[in-house]
Amino acid sequence: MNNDVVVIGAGPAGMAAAIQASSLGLKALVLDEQPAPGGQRFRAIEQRYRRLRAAGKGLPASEQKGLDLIRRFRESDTRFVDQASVWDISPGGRQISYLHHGRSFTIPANAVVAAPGAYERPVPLEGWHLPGVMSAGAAQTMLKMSGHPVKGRIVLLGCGPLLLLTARQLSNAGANVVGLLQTTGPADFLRATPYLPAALRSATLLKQGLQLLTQTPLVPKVFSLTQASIIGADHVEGVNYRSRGGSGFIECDAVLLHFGVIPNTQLSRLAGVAHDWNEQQECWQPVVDAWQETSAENLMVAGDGGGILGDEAAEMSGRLSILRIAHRLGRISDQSLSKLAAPLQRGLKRLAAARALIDTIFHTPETMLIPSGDTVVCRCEEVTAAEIAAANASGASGLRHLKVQTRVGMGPCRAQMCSMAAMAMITPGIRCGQRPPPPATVRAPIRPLTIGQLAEADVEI
Amino acid sequence: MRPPHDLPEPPHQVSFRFGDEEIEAWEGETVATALLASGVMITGVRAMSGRSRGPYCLIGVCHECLVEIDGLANQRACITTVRQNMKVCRQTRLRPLTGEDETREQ
Amino acid sequence: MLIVGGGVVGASIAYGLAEEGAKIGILDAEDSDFSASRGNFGMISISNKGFNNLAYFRLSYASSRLWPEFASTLREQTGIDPAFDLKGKVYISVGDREFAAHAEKVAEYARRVGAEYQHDILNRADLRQMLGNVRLGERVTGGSFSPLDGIAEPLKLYSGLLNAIQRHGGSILRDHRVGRIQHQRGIFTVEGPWGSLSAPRLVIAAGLGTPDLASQVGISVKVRPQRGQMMVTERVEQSFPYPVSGLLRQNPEGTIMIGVSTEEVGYDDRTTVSVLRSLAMKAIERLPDLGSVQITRCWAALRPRTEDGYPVYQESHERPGAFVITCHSGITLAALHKRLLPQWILGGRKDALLEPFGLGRLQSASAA
Ligand SMILES: Cc1cc2nc3c(=O)[nH]c(=O)nc-3n(C[C@H](O)[C@H](O)[C@H](O)COP(=O)(O)OP(=O)(O)OC[C@H]3O[C@@H](n4cnc5c(N)ncnc54)[C@H](O)[C@@H]3O)c2cc1C
Ligand SMILES: Cc1cc2nc3c(=O)[nH]c(=O)nc-3n(C[C@H](O)[C@H](O)[C@H](O)COP(=O)(O)OP(=O)(O)OC[C@H]3O[C@@H](n4cnc5c(N)ncnc54)[C@H](O)[C@@H]3O)c2cc1C
Ligand code: FES
Repeated sequence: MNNDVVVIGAGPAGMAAAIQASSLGLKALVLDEQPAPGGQRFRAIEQRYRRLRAAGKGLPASEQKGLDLIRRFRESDTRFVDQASVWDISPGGRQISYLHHGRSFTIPANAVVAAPGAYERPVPLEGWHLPGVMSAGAAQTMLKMSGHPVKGRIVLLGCGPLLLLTARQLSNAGANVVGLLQTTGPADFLRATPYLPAALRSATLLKQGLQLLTQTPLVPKVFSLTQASIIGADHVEGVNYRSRGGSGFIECDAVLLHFGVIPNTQLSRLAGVAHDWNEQQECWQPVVDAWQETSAENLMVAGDGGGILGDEAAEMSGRLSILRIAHRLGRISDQSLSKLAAPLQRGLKRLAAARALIDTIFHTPETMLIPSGDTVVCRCEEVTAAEIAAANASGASGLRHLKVQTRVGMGPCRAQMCSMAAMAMITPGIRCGQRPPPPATVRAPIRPLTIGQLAEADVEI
Repeated sequence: MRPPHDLPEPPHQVSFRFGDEEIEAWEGETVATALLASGVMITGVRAMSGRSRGPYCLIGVCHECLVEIDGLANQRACITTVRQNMKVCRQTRLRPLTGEDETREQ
Repeated sequence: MLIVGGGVVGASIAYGLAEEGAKIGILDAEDSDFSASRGNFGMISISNKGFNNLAYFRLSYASSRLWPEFASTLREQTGIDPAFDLKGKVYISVGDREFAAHAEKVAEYARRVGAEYQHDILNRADLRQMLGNVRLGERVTGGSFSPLDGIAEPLKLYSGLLNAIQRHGGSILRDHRVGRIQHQRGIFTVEGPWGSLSAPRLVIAAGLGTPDLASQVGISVKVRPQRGQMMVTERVEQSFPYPVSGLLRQNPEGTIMIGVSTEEVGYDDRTTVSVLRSLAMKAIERLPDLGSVQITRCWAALRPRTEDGYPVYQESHERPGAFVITCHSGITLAALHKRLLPQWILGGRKDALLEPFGLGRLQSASAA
């Protein structure tokens, strides 16, 4: 089976890419490990729609555009394989291996749009490894998929639009939110004022932002949070916190953490393309040009996986990458390329400018970025901050030596949860926003794979 | 195939086994969200300390939701879609490679 | 005393020197540099050593005899257990031809080495008994057992060595890549962007970085990278009690390591799916139950390999006091390096076991 382009991820970016591809007559194969298209923002939206409709209700207006996108995606001339976990991409991206219903397939790819999206910035806090602690996005995902909010008394903790959005969605669903602890405070808003004019150019974004800030649920709130630890023996029992306004304790059964989202760079790092440190968003991201093309030809990264700009930008960047590929294949002329691309590139610029405001307001405080003491940094191998600090003091100045001495980052999550915090701990001066040393190497398989699946893989040449 | 959102009826309910419990879920849902929705927070124990662990990210990143599914250990519950009658187990000990479990070889 | 190179080889020597009371400093390059010591299989391999070079067999064998005390001292001094076990190794042959060839090779080994080369040839039933419950692949015909071999936990060994050195007052200087070596009035000065350090004695044990440094003390030695890929699995219950054919081993905490390829690809330490797949196939062909086990990590590392594959222990004629040491079985030889190299480096006799491994041999000898 020959495809013009393989798209990894069926979120807004991947779906928009596939729709654009099919409209230009390109054959796209789309792979996603989820059971349905939608990505994070529009997770399980088809099922939600059917459940609501059966109950005589409709989707909220803000979600309707997701359903429309999925409809256009499903109706496009695209081959979509769900429950397909991509576990390898070769250097430069010409070969892709994925697992589908227990079988592994390796396929060639003439061009690739990687649209793996983002994940929530892991910020190790004391007690964050306890059952009952989840990310806010997880609580939202649970709500989207099962229709049920998290049970028991809930504390939301951290910063970012998604934290506020989740608080609202949970409250609306009847959840028992007993605290909203935000690191955000007046100082953050002050610091962000210079970015306001640029953000004003993106009216919808600003409106959404204002809604989020003003329509938070009526629950006890704490601002300017500086420290927190989660208490419990075998599961969450409460949160101790300190803020500029004082300290306190809240009894609860669940804690939902959120400190913004960062690009999922596993695929792009595995493919060996250039990455750069994004100072404003404090994360690594692949270097891409105005067409989302990485340092490897015909390997594009679109959507939040290439830098956090949200679902609207994700769609634009997905389309842009296809335009570039189609142009290379001679499917569109120079003229129509620039005509089709211009509004997309303008739109991306506008959204990027608005983003500075959000990133500055919702900035994770330094007091929380560097874990200490008994805080479990590496959850898989259960390595504490104190152990990392000791290894560092005895000369382990980089992540690889830290691994040898502590096993940090050697478990099944492949260092996705701990490497940023560990790196922050061992990099002097990182507090001043300095660029950290390069991130840990990524090796295949980036998804669970058995020896048998590897041995019996189907290879298509 | 007809796109799912055009189907007139609501999604089906399916059920699967979690240890001795029967768990209800929507078709198209993941094992982890179904477990959480029915109040199961603990999906296994940590290999080193034996302390309990439970799902954290629900998008396949953290690997804290690993469970045994139909005899295969260390499956991400948050990425695995529920199937009628699937057998899910909390992981509390190391899995034997040999003997015992007949379902494993499937 | 300065040691350039902080891998297992440099660290084993430094440990021995520090125990002898020498004041030592290890200079090691960046965290991102190639490092065999962070990515190896951790076998103490004897039974496949020196088929064409008896001296190499004797050297490896001697190290294996020193390992028990080496490991227990390390554990007592640091609290870090390298998990050494001289438990032997099982070879599994697939198909009649492979079995016959293996039996022939083992017999020839025994003829060459003599009584020290203990081994048992095993048929399928013997193998099944030795390996416990785990199923054998259908095409497994037989194999052998060698009681000479052992295993250690490579990362525990490495971090234990570093810890021991520091406990004996030695210092480990990271990000101290040595660029230039100067020699004046019996004092060596090593330099890098970080500054410079001087000492009357200098050990160069820098793995792949060795040739460049050795040439600056008048020693010409070639070391090339040889890639090895391997993988480690999820933890499962203890399933087979012996390491298998240099291909499989299970660690005390349950993970299984599957390795190791041997590839000549230059300075490229990436993994490739095709090589990993062939390792997986070999593993399942022998022990099919491994098919259901999940891979946690795969990696590749580069072995520093000398021209003929044998170790190099050479003092500079031009610059006495400078020593060059490199080998490609630094785990196997760790115990011996710690015990026998310090006395020589400190000005004493070069042990007879080490004698054959000067550079003189490379003028005539060829690879094995
Ligand atoms: C948990 C979470 C919840 C969020 N909720 C919201 C929200 O409610 N509202 C909002 O505006 N924004 C939300 N966001 C932000 C979100 O990143 C963007 O809104 C938007 O979804 C980005 O679109 P995308 O196409 O770039 O990536 P995504 O929508 O994240 O889609 C990426 C897709 O790639 C798939 N994928 C990744 N790696 C692989 C692989 N190796 N193999 C196969 N498939 C793979 C994933 O399964 C996913 O479906 C959320 C982010 C996260 C992490
Ligand atoms: C996959 C694989 C499996 C293996 N399995 C086994 C096994 O089972 N049993 C066994 O006995 N052996 C095994 N080996 C071999 C063993 O790992 C090596 O022999 C041993 O690690 C070599 O140690 P080293 O210190 O010489 O080199 P390295 O570990 O490579 O260390 C060299 C050090 O020198 C530093 N350096 C280099 N240049 C400079 C410079 N200019 N200045 C300062 N520092 C410098 C480097 O940064 C590095 O830290 C294996 C190797 C591999 C790759
Ligand atoms: S909950 Fe994080 S991987 Fe499943």
